[in-house]
Amino acid sequence: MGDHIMSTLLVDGINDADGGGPKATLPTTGGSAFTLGPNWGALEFVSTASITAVANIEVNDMAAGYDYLIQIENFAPTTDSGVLWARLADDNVPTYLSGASDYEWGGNWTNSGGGDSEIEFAPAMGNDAGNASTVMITIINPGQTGENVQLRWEMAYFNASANFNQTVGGASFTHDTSSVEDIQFGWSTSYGAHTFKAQGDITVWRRRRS
Amino acid sequence: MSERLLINCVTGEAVVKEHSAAERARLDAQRLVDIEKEPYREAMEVLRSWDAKGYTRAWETSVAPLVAAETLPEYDATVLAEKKAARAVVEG
Repeated sequence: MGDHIMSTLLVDGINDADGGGPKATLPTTGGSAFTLGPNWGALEFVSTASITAVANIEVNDMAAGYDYLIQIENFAPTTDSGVLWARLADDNVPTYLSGASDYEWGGNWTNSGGGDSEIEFAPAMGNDAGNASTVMITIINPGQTGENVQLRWEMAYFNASANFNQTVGGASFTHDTSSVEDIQFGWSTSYGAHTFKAQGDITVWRRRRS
Repeated sequence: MSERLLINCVTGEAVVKEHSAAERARLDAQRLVDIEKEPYREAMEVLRSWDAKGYTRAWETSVAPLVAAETLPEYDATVLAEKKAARAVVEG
């Protein structure tokens, strides 16, 4: 039996299991313009990988027409008191931007206070054995132009005193209103040199915007 | 050599690669700029500890003027010049 791929489904009504009356408000004669597009409303898996002892983690070549959801799971800094940072790129090189006012960010513990050279997700994090933190980041429509690309996050983390805390926050790419293709993560203690511990995973999904 | 884990959203491929020479040079220059932030962070941690003990928050009157005047103890003229040159490289 072969696979059958259906890109458009035309329906007259949506009924319950007993075949009763329509449960949705749809035209009852002449068919309906109600259609289901591919992956409509669903998260679409992009990739997952184990985190090794790397200085930076990058998610590259985000496409237009999607929101991107990035989940960094059970991670930790190799060097104690690292703050998780991120920088964005609006070209295909990519060149990650770090001007003094390229970003505005704010969370439930503090904020960038008038512009910053990176996005900061939490206060200093711990590297003790067993410390493992997780952050879920939603990048809103990175492929759009004309408005600042923004993102939101929720994070649960071990701080430098090995106590478990949480942050919620958001950031805006205030460098300009270009589309964003790439995001890079690293550590405040020496960005691009100090590494992630070899533990945890990164998983990326996307969702269609239309 | 430091490395980076790359997730490609087009192919789904995940690979570990070394930084390119250009990216390495840029990160090295950026690090000199990033270091500027650490005194602020340390000062904020001190002030938070003061808050926790019930002291009045004193950032505006004690630390901020030092930062503005670039007179924090570890800021000698040579280091400042290096940082300003690095910022010029990073910001083009």
